[in-house]
This record gives sequence, C-alpha cells and structure tokens, in this order.
Amino acid sequence: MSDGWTRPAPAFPAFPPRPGLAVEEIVGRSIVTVVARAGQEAALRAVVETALGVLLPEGPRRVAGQEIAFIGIGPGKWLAIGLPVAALAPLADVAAIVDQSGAYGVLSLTGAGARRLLGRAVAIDLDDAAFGAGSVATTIIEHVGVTLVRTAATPPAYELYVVRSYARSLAHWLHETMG
Amino acid sequence: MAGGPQRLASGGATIDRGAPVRFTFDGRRLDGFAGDTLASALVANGIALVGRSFKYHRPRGLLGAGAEEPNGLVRLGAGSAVEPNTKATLVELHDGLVSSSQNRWPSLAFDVQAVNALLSPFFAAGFYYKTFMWPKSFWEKFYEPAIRRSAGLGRASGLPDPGRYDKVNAFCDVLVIGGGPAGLMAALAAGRAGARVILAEQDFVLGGRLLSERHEIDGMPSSAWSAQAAAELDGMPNVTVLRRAAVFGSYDSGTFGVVVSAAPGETGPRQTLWRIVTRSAVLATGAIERPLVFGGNDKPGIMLASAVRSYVNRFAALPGQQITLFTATDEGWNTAVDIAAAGGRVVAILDTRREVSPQLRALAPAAARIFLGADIKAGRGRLRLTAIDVVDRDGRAERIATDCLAMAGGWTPMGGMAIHLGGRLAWSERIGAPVPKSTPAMRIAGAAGGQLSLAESLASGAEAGLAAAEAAGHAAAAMAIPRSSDDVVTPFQRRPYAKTRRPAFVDFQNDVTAKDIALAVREGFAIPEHLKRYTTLGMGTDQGRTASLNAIEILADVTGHPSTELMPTSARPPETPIAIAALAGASRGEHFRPKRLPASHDWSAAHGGSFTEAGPWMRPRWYTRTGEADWLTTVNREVTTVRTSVGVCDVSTLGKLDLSGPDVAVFLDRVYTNLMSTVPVGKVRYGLMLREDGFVLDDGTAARLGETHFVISTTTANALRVTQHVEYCRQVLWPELDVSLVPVTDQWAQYAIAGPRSRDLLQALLGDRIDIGNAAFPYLAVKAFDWDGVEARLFRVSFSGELAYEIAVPASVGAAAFERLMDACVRLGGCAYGTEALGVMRIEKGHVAGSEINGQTTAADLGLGKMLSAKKDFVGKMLAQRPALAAADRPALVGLRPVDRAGRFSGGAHFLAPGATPSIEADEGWLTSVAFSPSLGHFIGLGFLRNGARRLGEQIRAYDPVRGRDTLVEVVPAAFVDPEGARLHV
Amino acid sequence: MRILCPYCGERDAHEFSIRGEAPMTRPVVIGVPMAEAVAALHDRRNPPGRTREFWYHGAGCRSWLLVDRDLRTHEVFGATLASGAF
Repeated sequence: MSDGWTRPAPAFPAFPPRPGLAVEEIVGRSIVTVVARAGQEAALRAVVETALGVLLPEGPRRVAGQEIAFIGIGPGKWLAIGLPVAALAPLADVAAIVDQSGAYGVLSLTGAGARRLLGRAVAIDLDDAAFGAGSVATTIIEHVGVTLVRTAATPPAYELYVVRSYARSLAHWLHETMG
Repeated sequence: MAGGPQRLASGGATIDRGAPVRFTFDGRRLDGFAGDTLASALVANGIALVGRSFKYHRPRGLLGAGAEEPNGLVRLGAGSAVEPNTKATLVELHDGLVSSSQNRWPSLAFDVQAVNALLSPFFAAGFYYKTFMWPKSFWEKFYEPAIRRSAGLGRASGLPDPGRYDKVNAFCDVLVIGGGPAGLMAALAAGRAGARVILAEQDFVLGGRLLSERHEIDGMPSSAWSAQAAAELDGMPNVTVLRRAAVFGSYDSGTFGVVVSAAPGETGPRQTLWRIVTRSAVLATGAIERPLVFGGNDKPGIMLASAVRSYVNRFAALPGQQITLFTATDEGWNTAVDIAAAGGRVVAILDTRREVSPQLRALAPAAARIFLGADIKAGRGRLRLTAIDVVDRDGRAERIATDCLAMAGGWTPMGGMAIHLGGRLAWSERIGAPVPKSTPAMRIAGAAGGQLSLAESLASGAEAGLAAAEAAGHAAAAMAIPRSSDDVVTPFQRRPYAKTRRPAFVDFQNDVTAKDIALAVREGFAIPEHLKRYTTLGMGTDQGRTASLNAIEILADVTGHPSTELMPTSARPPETPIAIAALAGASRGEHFRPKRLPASHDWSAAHGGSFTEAGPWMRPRWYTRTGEADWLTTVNREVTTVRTSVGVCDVSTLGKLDLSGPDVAVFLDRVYTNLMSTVPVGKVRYGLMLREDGFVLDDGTAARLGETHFVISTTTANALRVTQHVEYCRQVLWPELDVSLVPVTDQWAQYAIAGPRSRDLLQALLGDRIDIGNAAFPYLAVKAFDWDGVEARLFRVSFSGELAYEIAVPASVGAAAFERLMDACVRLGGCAYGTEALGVMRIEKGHVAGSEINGQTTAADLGLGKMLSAKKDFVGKMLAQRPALAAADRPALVGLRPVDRAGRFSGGAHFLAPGATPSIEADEGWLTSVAFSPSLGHFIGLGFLRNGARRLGEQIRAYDPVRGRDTLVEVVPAAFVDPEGARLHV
Repeated sequence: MRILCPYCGERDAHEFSIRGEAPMTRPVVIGVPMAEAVAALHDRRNPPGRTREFWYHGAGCRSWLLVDRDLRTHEVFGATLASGAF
C-alpha cells in the first residue's frame, strides 16, 4: 500500500517569476553525502571514476557526469547529486555513504538577476573570475547555512542547497530581497 | 527670482534651472532647483537662521556646505518616516521635501530655552559632573528626568520605520573613498589599468571641490572636467560608481562599511549597506576649512569661506548682500574674487597676517576695504549677523555693517578613516595640521594627505590609483596629469588666539567655547582626549571636524605646549552618522533571527499549536482545544492522555549525528563517559558527554545500527556545540582514528509515540511491517524497516517514562508521516503533546534537561556519577576529579514537593533552613525546574541541594523573594512517577 | 576580519568560531596526569603579536584550522587544516 506518500514534499513556497530572475525548487532530487575513509581518498576517486564515470572534484567545485554530479563540501567530503543512495553502494568500502535526500531543499536560480540577488545574500566574491561555472561555496545567508553552486556561466545559473527546516525562513528573506 | 530671491541670474555648476522644485522649511513654502541641497536652497531663499544650538539654544546658521556642517541639523519628512538630525548640507533637494528646524520651542525665532544662554556660567565645561552631584536623592526624581527632557538633538518619530533597508556584499581591487579631484584621478588611473574599482562619493554628484571652485583643468572649467571624468568612469564595466555613499568605517582585512542612500523618488530600499572587501583603498576624502575663533563667531551669516564659494559657484546662491571676508590664508582671497565675479558685493577683507603679497592685494575687488593683522572683537546681531567690530595691526577699530562673513582659517585634512585600524598621524608644518600616512592597505591622496593644491591633488590621486591597481596585479603605464590653473599653497601661519569676554565658539555643535577649554585646562584636563570627555568638544554628528584643530591650537596657547605635540582625538567608526536600520538591513522583524521549522509544523499550526522558541527551532508548547480555559488545563490533559493512553510529539529538533568507520566504537568510548563499544548492534544506550574541563556537556543516545555505524542524538539546544566538539575530537585529538561524521538532524523527521497504548498505535499503523512485540523489540531496541516504500527507523526509547517509541522518516515525507501517526493516535483517543507536557513528564521522572545541564554541573551533581566509567579514560575524566568538582558537599540533584500539597513554588527559588535569615552564607541550593504534576495532583520540582543525596526526607524552605513566596518543601528522590522504571519494559 | 580557509577560500570571520591559542604539539586530553591535563586546558602564552590559534569553520567545511594571526593588528598570515598538522 504505497498511495503515493513516498513523494517528497516541497520545502519552499513557490516563487513568482521576476524580470531576469527565475527561482524554482527542485523537488525530489537524490542527495547523498560521501565521505572518504581515512587515507582512502585516492581509492574513492578511482572507484567513482570506474563505477560512475566521473572525476571527483578537488576542493569546492562541482563536476557533473551523465547521471550524477559531485559537489565538494569539505576536505574528503562531497554531495553526490542525482542517483539514489543504493547506486552508490560500490563506494561503500572506501567511503561513508549517507542519504541526505530528505535533509535539503534545493533552489535553482537563473538569470542576470540571480547574481544580483545572491550578491545581497552571500559574503563571497561572485565575479565570473572568482565564481565561474563549477564553483561551489558552503557559506551563510542571513544566519542560514547554504551550499551555493554555480551550474552555468550564461545565463548565470546557480543552485542553492539549504537544510529543509530553514527553507521557509530563507524563502521569506528571498521574497523580501527580490522586492 | 526663480529658485529663490538670493539666486544669481546665471552660473551654478550642479543646479538644473529647468527643473524647479518646491519644498517647505518650518512650514514655509519655498522654491529651489533640482541639484540644490536643502542648505543651498535655504541660502538662495535668503534664510540664514536654520537651527538652535544644543546647549545654549543660540540662534545658528549654516557654517559649512558639506559633511562638516555642525549647525544645520534638520528634521526631514513627517509621520513615521521622519528622520531627525540630518545635515541640511547633505540633503538632496526634491519636490515636496518637508523639512523643519530642531532644538527649539515653540519656534525657531523665539525659543524658550534660549534662557540657557543667560545661565551659561552654570553650563560651562564639566557642568554635568559638578552640578548634579547632590543631594543624591535628587538624581532619580529631579535631575535625570529634567536632563532627559532637554538633552539630545532631534527627536525620532517613535513609530516603526516604514523604510526598507538592504545589504550588498561587494569585492574589488581598489576602493576609492571620495570623488573629488584626487579620487577621480585615482579611479581613472586604476580603472584604465583594468582593476576592479569602486568609487564611493558621499555627494550626489562627483567632483568634490571641483564643483565649488572656479579652477581650470585642461583648459576647461573644473566642474566640466569632473563631469567628463565621471562620464568616463560610469562607462567603464570594471568600475562601480556609488553616489550618495557614505563610507563610515575601515575594518580588518580590507573591509569597509558604506551606506548608500536612494536618490529622491527612487523605488527600492531607502538605504543599502554595502560591505566592501577590497585589496587596498585610496583615501581621497579631502580637507575641510577651519573657522576662526572670535567673540560672537556663531552669528547666523558667518560661514566658512569655502562654503561661501560652494554656494556662489556651485549653486549660484548668494549668502549675503554685504559680504565680509576674514582670512588667515591666501586661498581665502579667492572668495572675494568669486563673489565679485558673480556680481556680489564684498565690503571688506580682513587678513590675520600683518603682511600679504602685492599680487594677493591686487585680487581684491575695488570696493573692498582691506585690514591687515586684523582681528574681530565681536560679531553682532541677534537672529542674523548685522555687523562686526574690527581692529587691525595699527589698532584701528571700526564697526563694519555686514550680513555675511566668510572665514578662512586653514585646512583640516579628513584622514579619520586612516586611523580606524590604529594608523598614525604626522604633523605637517606646511599646512599646520596633522596628516595621515599612506600604507599599502590605504594610500592617502589629495587634500586628505595634505596635498592642498589642485595640481598636487590630481597628481597624488593618479599616483595612488596606479599603485593600488599595480598591487592588485594590474600594471599600467604612467598617466598624464592634466594641467590645472594651480592655486599655490602658502605655508600656514599660526594665529594666536585673542582673549575675549564674549563667547568665542570652537565646537559649534556642542557649544564649547575658547573659555571652556581654558577652564578645562585649569581643572586638569589638558590633553585632547581628556578635553573631549570633559567638555564634549569633538562629539556629536560632526565629530568635531571644524573644531579639533582650533581646540589644539588654543590648548597649545593655554598650556604652552607646541601644538605639534598634541594630536587630535582618535577617530573611530562610524565616520559619519548612519541609521541603525541601515546596519540591520532586512534583518529585522521576521528576519531578526531565522527560524527552523520541523516537518509537523503545518499540522501543529492547524490543530491549536501554540509555539515557543527552542534554540533556533519553533516548537509547539501545547495544542489548545476548544473550551480549554487556560494553558494549564491543556497541558494537564496532554500529560494525562500520555500517562493513560497515548500521545505523539515531534522530537526532530534533537541533534542527530551519523558516525561510521572502523574505529567508531573506540572513538565513542573516548567521547562518552560510559562504554559505547559494548552496545550490541540493534540497541540504543543513553550516554553522557563531558567537556574537557570535566563539567557535563550534553546527554543523549547512541544507537548502533551496524558494527561500525552509530547514530547519536544531542539535545536541541546543544546540537551545534556537540557537533563542533565531536569534530574537534575527530580532527584535532585523534585524527588517526578512522571515523566519519555526517550531521543528519535535517534528514530525519523523528516522532515520539508515548503511553501505555503506544504499541497499539504502532501495531494499527504498521501491521506486520515490523515485529514490535516486547520480545522481538524490547526496551532500547532500534531497527530500520520499510514503511510502505519509505526507509524508516524505529527506536524504543522513552523520555516520558512510559512505554514509548520514536519513529524516524526522511524529513521530505515527515509531514505525511506525522498525519498518519495522528490519524492512528486520535482513533485510539490519544493526542499530540507539546514541549510543556514533555517538560512536566520529564520532571515527574526526574530526567535532567537544559536547566540542570547548564555548564556548571558535574555528572555527580546530576545524580549521574555512576555513568563515569572506571574501565576507560574519556574526555573530561581527569579534570572532573579536581577537588572543587569532586567535593562531597556540592549541591546535588534532588526532588522537592511542598509539605502542604496545595502549596506552590517556582524555578529560581533558593533553599534555606527553616528559621534561617536569608543570606548568601545561608544559601543551600536552588530550584531548577518546577511543574504541576497532574499525575500526583500537586507541584513538584527538581533542584540542587547541598549534600542533597544525604538529605532525603528533610524539610527546607524554597525562598523566592522575587515572587514573594516562602514555601516549606520536602526533599525526596528525583523520580516522582514510576521510580523503578517498570513501565518502560512492558 | 577575513580568514583564508585552506579548503573554502577567503571567508569572513563570522563564519568561524575561535577556540584559542593552539599548542605546538597535538593536545592530549586522555591518559595524562592531572597537572598535564590542567596545563593543556588552561596554560596560554597569549603573546602580544603573532600567534597560532584553533578556529572552526562551522559555517563552511566544518574543518578545524590552525590560523596564524597577529593579535594586535588582526593580520591573518595563513591557515592550515588542524587534522594531520601535528
């Protein structure tokens, strides 16, 4: 008896579109924390490459393959985006694999206005030279922890990962700041 | 005349004669032009009286034309949008502007408190310290209310600010502070070199003094040159020009605070706080002119000469009909030239110097009389200057009729921002003022660095801009310095301060006179920092910009110290007054602090939930039902329902950490006081963590999901602290242990199902998806299972003391799971319960919580001494054995109940022996947690009592002078309900 | 103040929390006698100048860092991961 209740609920209210800025929630995305076991980072890199066809990024970067993207969130730590936790089983010998699909709300922000809006939000340099496509920053917006990912250069596109319990507070702030 | 009766027929660098503007001042309807400031429009309308002084309520007019203005503080707007204490010289005039003067009642021309001026002997330096000393009893009843009524500058509206405020983060290679000649050159040089440049200018037009002087650059008027430079900068993609931008502070690591105001009529935030991080800065904030100190130098109509030139040249507003000039410098004479060129009348030029060059004399308008070695004995007039009493080097004394006097007393470089981070000033003999020194982090350019001439300004600006760009990796060829009609700077000559009986003002805003300074010195306050505290000189919205150097010179005269050994008081942020609202930005109201909401929040809000803050979380305190008279009725019902049937409570707010790896059990043994390596897979153990200093850090559970996999829980309040501590243990103390830590608080929505019928509820809901019989799933069991396609975890743990479970599901389906639980719960006659019922039940069980684990208690204090394993070492073990922490007579946890069961008490009451006189010495401990127990029908409490464990059965007093209670209580074991814990195991 | 996190890059200090001066060798808190445990927790040189401190990048990568910093000028000279630094 599964009556569709396994469908994840949205974390955010809807954002009406604004000129030069589209903000949309990405609901139901698989998010898994992958942490290399001590001294196993090279081994993890090899397994990820053979099993998933992706080169694990060094540092706070995003690398995307066909079905999965990895986002660096700390030394030896990544978020694996796009495949359910079971698909990461081959990594289990060399890494901790922890499903976080329920933990995050994910927003995509696109358009010239996205850069301006985020400039009001995060205290990091968003200039193309400093935060081009593939850049990742785990930081804070108005006391709320977020991971910000630049997914595309033009038009500027970003993804914002925020823990679910803070999603509404962040949404309220975004609404006000978008004006 | 359009734009005001004193408006000149032509000229005006920034006004737009095609855009007339109407505004009001103190209810009078007046005309001006777009491009005026409120101050220039008042001048153009012939209004000299703009305010009353702070202490003596003396009539005051505009002294300056910019940020240095001490007198022209006005109140803008009406109703809730009112903004007091705004400098009229910085207000951009716009249609419909409503402004009024301050610090006067009932009107500006007739002010009752001007009687203070007659009492001025009593208001001299240090009067607060001397006057209100005695009798002591008068302070609260009389002095303080009286001072509060009459003190302070303008009044705020007292209503919520309707404006919107915002914040922006910006990064650049070069921040140029100030858009005058030096700043423009610096920005051009760095911008052309390709550096990322931000130019911040306080004015709404770039140009600074270039707009106010009749200089030439590259053969064009200086104002036209600055417009051309501004256009080039506006067109550069790598340059951001901020107008109306007040840079208020220089902070560590190249961070600057800037408040940018919206242009009149602009939609969007009223002000935006820019946090700018730059590789280096160019300080090009210019210099401001010094007034001359003489008796009656504060009459409305007496202005800085540079301000007169601004009003005449930039705004085409003539500040008087018969203008006189009082100067100590050569460039002061330019004022006479400019006034004459504009068609104004200069009646006399007074130079403090005994000799001036023939070239200078040749500049004087033919009609102007010249006095050398001159001094002014008195400025005369009541609401406006009418005459000055002049004496010259030959002793010639004369009264000259004048309605406007321009004062030129030399320059004060505006280097304050250079010393925010501890930089030093060095005295420049050439300009007779201290100037800041350049550093790689902040290069000083133009007049701010003592480069007073236009040629020097342009050159030093270009040099600073290039050097800053180069330091950021943008090399560029040297830049051609435009030719300018140079104004040669003659070295500054000190002027001795003549003594006068009349008040000669040094600090106009704070009404500090030359006499006050002499008095302060006599009373022992003889250096600038002491003088400031004693006389208030240099305080207020202008921060003594026009006062500091004159004060130093007078101090030097009075004390005999050379002025070069006296430095102005340290400048600190904010450099210029800024609204608190701008600092808060959008972080107010709803956003003062963000809130965390658990997945059940909407259900709770729809079912009578009343919410409370628990750390950052909003949690339901209780769920009110129709007909329940008060919260206690509600909470009693919730507790009784759980104790007799079943209840559901969201406990997702507890912190959860996923720990795994080959060494995880060893690691947890070191972190917890009790053994975790012996927990079997599929079981949960209660655990205690100590801080390194031996006090209790937190309590929680550790659930072993696999041989090398645990999930541990923390209290709601300590989730982040415990995470940080565990990360420290992992990364710093034992990096050789292979343990991974992943916080999963937000991944799992977790619900407690408690009460004798909790198993029935789960049975009804889960059927055969998991065997929850007592044998298969005993107390402290944990198991993962599939709940109709959802990965779920079931724990058999209890905080209430009843048969209880916690079920965890991914938070993305948490709302749906909570609804399922509540459907099943209500069908069994159960209810949802909030944090208050949770609290009552934990007190009934004697479980400790935040009131007891308060950072000052040991495991033994909490009655948990047996949890300190003797078989191993762990964090805090050694230091917990320090004598004071291990002392036998420390207050220890006990239960308390009123001897008269109808009695009540409250948390915070202190324990006293019956008959003891309340005193610190007699104090025997305190009550930490109190609740009404519906299970027992009376109040119960937990508390820390000296020697508590050995005093069961004793009677003591819970003494509570705050609430006026003194209750006889009985010391009992901390567990009131089911002390054996039998209900947990059924 | 801004700190150059070796993983995240330059960040504002409010993303971090400070623990205090770091010892030259890895702190040992278990299996040591009382005097050593007390010294490890409380003894600080607190020099008026350049020093090495523990900072935690709680709002970023959650790394514990050793930050080389001047206590008088707040100048930050560099930071390394504390893990494996001793």
